[in-house]
Parts: sequence; C-alpha cells; structure tokens
Amino acid sequence: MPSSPGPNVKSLVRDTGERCHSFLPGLALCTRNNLRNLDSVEVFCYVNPRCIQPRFPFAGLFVFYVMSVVGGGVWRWIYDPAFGPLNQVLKAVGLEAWTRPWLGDLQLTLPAVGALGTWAQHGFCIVLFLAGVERIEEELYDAAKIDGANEFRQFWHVTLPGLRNEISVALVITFIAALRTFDLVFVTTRGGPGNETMVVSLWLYRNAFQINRPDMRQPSQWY
Amino acid sequence: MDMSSTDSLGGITVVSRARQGIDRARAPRGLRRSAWAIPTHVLLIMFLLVTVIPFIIIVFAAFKTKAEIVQVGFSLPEVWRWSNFADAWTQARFALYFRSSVIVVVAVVIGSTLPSILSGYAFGRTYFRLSGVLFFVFLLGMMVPEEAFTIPLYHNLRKLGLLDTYWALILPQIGMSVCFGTLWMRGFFDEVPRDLVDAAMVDGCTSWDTLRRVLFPIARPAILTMVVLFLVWTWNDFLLVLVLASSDEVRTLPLGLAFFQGRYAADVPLISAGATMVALPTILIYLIFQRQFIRGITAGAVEG
Repeated sequence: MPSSPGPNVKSLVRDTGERCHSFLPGLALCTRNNLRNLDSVEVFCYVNPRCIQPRFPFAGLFVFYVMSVVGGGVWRWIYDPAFGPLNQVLKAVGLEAWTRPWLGDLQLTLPAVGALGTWAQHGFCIVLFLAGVERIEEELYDAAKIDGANEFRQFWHVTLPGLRNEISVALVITFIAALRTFDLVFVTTRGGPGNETMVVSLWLYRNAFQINRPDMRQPSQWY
Repeated sequence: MDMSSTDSLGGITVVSRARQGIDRARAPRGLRRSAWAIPTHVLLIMFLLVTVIPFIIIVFAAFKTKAEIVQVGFSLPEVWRWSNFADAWTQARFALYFRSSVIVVVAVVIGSTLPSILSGYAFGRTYFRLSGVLFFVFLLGMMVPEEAFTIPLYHNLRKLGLLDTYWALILPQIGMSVCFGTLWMRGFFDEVPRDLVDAAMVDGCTSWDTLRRVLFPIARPAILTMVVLFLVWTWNDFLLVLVLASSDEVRTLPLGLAFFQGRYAADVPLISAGATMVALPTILIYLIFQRQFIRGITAGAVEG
C-alpha cells in the first residue's frame, strides 16, 4: 500500500528543485539532438532530389538508431582522450589544441552525448526524408524551373513544403527519443561527470533502484 | 490529331523537337550537367563516412592487438587476430546472453503477433460498443513511455514472484508489442476495400474464414513488417531488462555487452570484438528486411 501522502508530498516538493536540475540536461540533450538532426538532414534532402540513389545503403544507416548499446560503446572508445580516434585524428591534422576529454569535460560532455544521439538518429531521418522526397511530384519541380527557380530556391519552395509531414514526424520522433534516452547515456557516462548528463530516465533509475528511496515507488515524473 | 502524321517535313521537325523538349524536362534528374553535381556528391559521401566510420573503426579494432590500438584508429590491422572474437565470446559469456535473447525474442514475437492480428481485425473491420474505449486503452499503452511504468512494474512483478525469470521479460514486452501491433494491423485492415470482404461474405465465409483465407494472404507484407519490428525492438530492449532481470542467466545480449564493456574497459580489442559480434545479427536482419523497415518508418508519415 502506498505510504501516507504527507511525507510523499513533502519529498516531492523538495525533489522538484532537484528534478528541475535533472530535467534540464534531458531537455538540453534533446534540443541539441533535434537541431543537429534537422540541420544535417535538411541539407541531405536538399541534395537528394538531384541524385538517383538506390535505397539500399541508406536503409543500413537506420541500424544505429536502435543499436544504442553498441553505438554507445563505439563512441565511448572514439571519445577516449588518450587513444580514441577522434583525438588522434585531430592531432594528426595538426589541431592538437582542440583535443579534449570529450566525455570527462563538464561543459563538453552533454554536447558530446548529444552528437552521439544525433549520429544514431541520422539514418532514421534520412530514410524518412528519402521516402518523402520521392513522393513529391515532378510537375512541381518543372513548374518551378519554368518560373526561373534555381536549385536552391527549388529546394526552399518545393522540397521543404512538400516534406512538411515528414519533417513533423521526424521532429516528434527525435524529440521523444531524445527525452527517453537511457541506453546511450548509461553506456557512455552513467550520468556523466558529476551530474552533467543525468537525463530524466537515468535519474529515475538511480533514485528508484540504486539509492532505493521508498518514496520513489510512484512514477512521479513529468515528461 | 495524330502527332506522328507525316504531312510535311516541317511538321515532323516541329513535333519531334517539341517532344524532345518535353522528354528532357521529364527525364530523371541526373546530376551530370548540374553545377551542383560535385558538392552534392561530396556532401553525400561525407554523410556516409560520418555514419559508417565509427563502425569501421570498431571492426578494425576488433582484429588488432592492444599495442596496435595506440596507433591511428583507421589503420588496417597488421595481423588479423580472430582470437579476439573467441576470447570475447567466452569471457563475456555471450553464449548465455545470446540464448536468453533468442528465447525472449521468439516468445515475444510469437506471443504478440497473433493477438495483434486478431485485435487489429476486430478494431478495423467490426464495430462493437466498447471499441472506442478499448482502442484508447491500446493507444495509451503506446503513448506511455517505458520509463514511466518500469518502476511500478518492478514492484508488481516482485510481489508476483516473477522477477528475474524469463516471464518478467516476456510478458511486459508482449504487452508493449501488442499495443503497437494492434494499431498497425488496424490501420492495415481499415484500408482493405470493402468489396473484397463483402465478396467473401457472399461466398459464405464467417468472420474467422474471412480473416484466415482472404485477409491474411493480403496482409502478409504488413504482418512481416510488424514481426520484424517486434523482433528488433525486443532484441535491443535495454531498460526493461536492466530493471527486471538481475541474474546473469536471464539477461539479454545488450546488457551482456554493456556490462562486458564496463568490466573490460581497458581492453579495447576485446570489447570491439564483442560489440561487432553483438551488432552482427541486427545488421543482418536489417539487410535482409530493409523494405519492411522502410515501410514501417514511412507508413506513419503517409497518414499525416
């Protein structure tokens, strides 16, 4: 039976401050995820109608969207400050000043995990936009060409509006996926240096099971 | 008017030129003559590289020795050490986790496909008084995120004594899968033309016969997509298994990999070999069933 409402409510109120603090990384993470995703994929679908591409390779990109554990492990190694390929490449190119402890730096770890999430969701957005672009009628592009639109304007006035549905679907799904990230953060940073990458799901997990607080039995979270 | 008439030479020339103009405008837009050809291809290749390179790095790292890892990540391994894979398999106890994964996934897929088809058919083609309310319940099942009900689920299962068994993994995932499956099959059955079902009824089919003989063969691609999605989601599920399974015998592959990575974090070739082995089944499934996955992603966008 649930404990009496008194202590529960009190601890809830007390926790709200803490939860706000934990909610923010989650929110920031997903905002970064989204912005990056859409930026990169908008560019992609710009180029897309100009190319005849088989769908085969891009279906493979979708893989990383769900293989969070493997992706997390891969990127933890890539971000490794001493031997990870990222820092090694920077050194080789001569940008040694840019090498950092990516997952250990308090400021950088959230963007780093965000970039990881973006990488994972790339394929999904690409497949979505690929299918969407193929559905746009050719007559629209012909009409635009007749009206004197160059390639960029065709993208802006024909492709983007035609992809409205797909863009909204991609936004919603990447947003929800970013809010729900657990595996990625668990495998790479377990909450990060200090509490930097403590997203909501991880915070919940830690409070409910690892610290074993009895007042956490109710799913008193707000998404 | 017959466009290919050969009245006069001038007529043919004009007509054929006009037709050529139309054809050129309609031709698949290749990039060969466009000024944007090169930057476009460069951009696409960059995307491909960014997405695939981490994986190539890991696959190469799986074959190297510890000393070689220190060198630049992209280099090909000097000696292709397959022994890393064998070591990772035994040390990470992947056989155990693999067996658990297979048991859970097979059970979940079998246990959720049939109910999904049946309830999708019920919601899609029949009307009963509670259908609105019940459908909303299924919708709720999809909307509520996994993280929200994991904790109460944990305590419920603990009271039932089912924690740390395969049932703890199978039953909730069947629940989650059936929610999605019902929506999916209902969407499909909604679109089946009424005439087909009516013709079947006229020929004397009961509801059950209609489903089995008429609708099921048509629905096969949709069902295959659904099965593949169930398979992949269940295979990759992490949070539920982490919370509900605490002993090694019941844990599935993603968890096995995560803990292996935690334990042997310093031994990069070993964990790379482990990661490659765990990724391989998923990649194979994606390669074989690409069309189903794409259909799964894009179907939602079409409705919107």
